[in-house]
Amino acid sequence: MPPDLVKAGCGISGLYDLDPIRLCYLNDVLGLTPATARRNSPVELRPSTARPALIVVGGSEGPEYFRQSQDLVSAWRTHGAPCELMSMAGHDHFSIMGELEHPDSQLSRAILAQM
Amino acid sequence: MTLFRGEARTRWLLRFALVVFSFAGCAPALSDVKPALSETDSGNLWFASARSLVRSWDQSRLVLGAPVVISGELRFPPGAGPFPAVILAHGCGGIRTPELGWGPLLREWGYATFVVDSFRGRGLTEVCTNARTLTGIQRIPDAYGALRIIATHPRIDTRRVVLMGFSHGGILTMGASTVWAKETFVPAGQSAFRAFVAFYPSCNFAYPERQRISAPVRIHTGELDDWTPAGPCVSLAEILKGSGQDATITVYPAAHHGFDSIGLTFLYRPDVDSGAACNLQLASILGPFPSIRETGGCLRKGATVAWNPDAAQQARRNVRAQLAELLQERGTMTLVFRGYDRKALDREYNNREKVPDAQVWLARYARESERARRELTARLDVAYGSHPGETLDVFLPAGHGPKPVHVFIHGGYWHRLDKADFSFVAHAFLPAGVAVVVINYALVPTVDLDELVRVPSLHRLGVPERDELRRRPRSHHDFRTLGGRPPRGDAHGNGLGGVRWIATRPGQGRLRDQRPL
Repeated sequence: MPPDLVKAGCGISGLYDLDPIRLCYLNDVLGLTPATARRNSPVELRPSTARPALIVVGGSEGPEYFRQSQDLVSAWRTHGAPCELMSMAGHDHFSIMGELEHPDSQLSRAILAQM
Repeated sequence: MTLFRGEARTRWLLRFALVVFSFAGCAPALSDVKPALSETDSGNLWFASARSLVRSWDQSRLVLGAPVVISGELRFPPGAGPFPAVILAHGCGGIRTPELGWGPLLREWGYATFVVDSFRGRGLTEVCTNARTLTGIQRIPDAYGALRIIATHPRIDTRRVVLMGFSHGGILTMGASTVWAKETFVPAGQSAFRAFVAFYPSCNFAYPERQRISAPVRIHTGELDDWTPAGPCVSLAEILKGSGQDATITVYPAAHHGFDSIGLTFLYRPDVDSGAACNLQLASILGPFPSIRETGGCLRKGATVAWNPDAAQQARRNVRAQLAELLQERGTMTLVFRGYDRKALDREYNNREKVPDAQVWLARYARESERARRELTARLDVAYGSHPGETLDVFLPAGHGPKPVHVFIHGGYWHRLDKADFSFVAHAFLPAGVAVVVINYALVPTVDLDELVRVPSLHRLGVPERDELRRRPRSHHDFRTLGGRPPRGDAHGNGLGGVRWIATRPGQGRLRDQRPL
C-alpha cells in the first residue's frame, strides 16, 4: 500500500485515553486491563506519519471528553504531528454528528478542506 | 497592580533600603532555605520558588531557570488544624491593601493564609511603572513554590489549598491555573491547587495554554476597570465554560480596578503601564512575545483605581461561598480517576444519560441513513474481511473517473451501533465529488479491543499486511473498481472511531507495532 494513502484524519468526539474507560461502567462490557487500555490508547502512542489530523469535540460534551481531545492534540504535537483541536460550541455528543447531514456545515467544510 | 500612594522620594528611599537589605544577606542563599516546615513554623518564611521563568538571551521568550529565594507570611486561624489554606499573590505594587485586607477575613473563615512576596527576595519594590521588569507569568513558579513549601506543614491540609491573586497577581493566578503550569511545576504525586480565585486579572494577552485549566477558576472583576478590562476575561470564561470546564466570572457593576482596596479613594495613575487596549494572541505562554512595534501601540500609560465598598462587600460574600463550595471535604469518597469518583466518572462517560435527547438523535441518524441509502448511488454490504462483521457500504458521487475517498468509522463504545446508522454522512461529501465508505467492524464481545483495533484496519482496505495474507484483504484497486481513488483518501471517525482511525493510520503498521511513549 502506498505509505501516503491516507491524506488526513479527523476524530470526532473521540476517546484517545482509555484508562478512564477501564475505570468506569463501560468496562463491564469491554473488560479492559491496564495493559490493553494503555496499548490501545492513542495518547500513549507515537504517530508515525505527519498527516494533518483534525480533532473535533463538542463544546457541551463535558470536561473529560474535552480533555481526551486536548490531550491527544498536545501529545501528538509533541511528536511533530500537525494536530488541530476544534471545539464546536453548543454541540453535545450526538448533535455534533448532525453536522455531517449537510455539505455546508462547519464540520463538513473543515473535513473537505483537509482533502 | 495595586498601588502605593507614597511620594516618589519615599519610594526611592524604600527601594534603596530594600536593596541594602538584600545585599546585607537577609535573603538566605538557596542552600539555606528550609526544604520542609515543622509544626511551629509560622510568620515570615523564606522559601524557594518552583524553578523560575527567565527571559531568553534575546528577551523574546521565557525559559525555565533555577529557583529563586522569595518570602511569604504564613498565618493560621485559631485551633489545631490541619487547615485549608489560601495563598495570596499581590499586585504590581507589592503587598498592599487587598492581600492585607483579605488575610484576617480568610482566617476568620477558617483558612490559613500565606501572603507571598514576589519582590523582596528579588530586590524589587514595584513593577507597575515598568511592566517588563517581572511579568505575572514569570511569578507562576512563586505560587507553586509556595504551595510546595506550605504543603510540608503539618497544620496545612495539602489537598485544600487555593491560589488567590490580585491584578498582576491575578495574571499569575490565571497562568497558574493552566494544566501547563500544573504539569510543569507540580512533581508527580504531589498535591496541586484545588481552585484559583483571580481578582481583576488581565486577560488581554491570549496564550493557548489558558484554554485548559487544572482546577476550578473564579474571576472577579469590575465593570469599569480601565486597566485590566472585564471584556477579555468574560470571553475567556465563556471559552472555558464552553468546553465544559469549571470557570466563572463575576463582573461587579460600577466597579473600577482595585475595587476591594479598602479606603483607597478614586485615583488616576498616569505613570503605570497598561495593556488594556491590547488584544494579542501569543503562540505560547512562554512567548515569543511581540516587540513594541508588533503590539501596534496598544501598550499605554495610565489607569484608574478605586475602592467600591458595595462591590467589595459583595465580593467578600461571593468568595466565602465559592471557597466553601470548592474546598468541601471529600469525606470517604474514593477517587478512581483524576478528580472523579466512580459515580462521577460513570456520569461523565454515559452520553446517553448525559444528553437528554440522545434517543431522538439516534432515531434521526437511522432515519436519515435509511433515506441516504434509498436516494444515493450505493454498493452495500461489501465484505472486506473474513469476520461477518467486516463489511462496508460505498456511496458514489455522480460522474465517471477516480474520486477522492472519505472513510467513515462509526462510534458506539466498541460494542454498539452499526454502519447503517451513519449512511447519512454521505450527504456531507458526495456533493463535493467525494466517494464515501462507511465501514462495519467486529464489535465487542465478538472480539476484544486488541483484535477490534488490529484486524479490520484500513490497511485491509488497501493491501495485505505481511502476516495477514490468509485473510486475503482487498486491494486498493477495489476502490478503483468501485469508483474511488485511494491516493486522496481521508479517514475519519467518531467516538471509538477516533481510536480506530488513529490505530490504523498508514505507514505505522498495526497498533502493536507502535512504540508506547
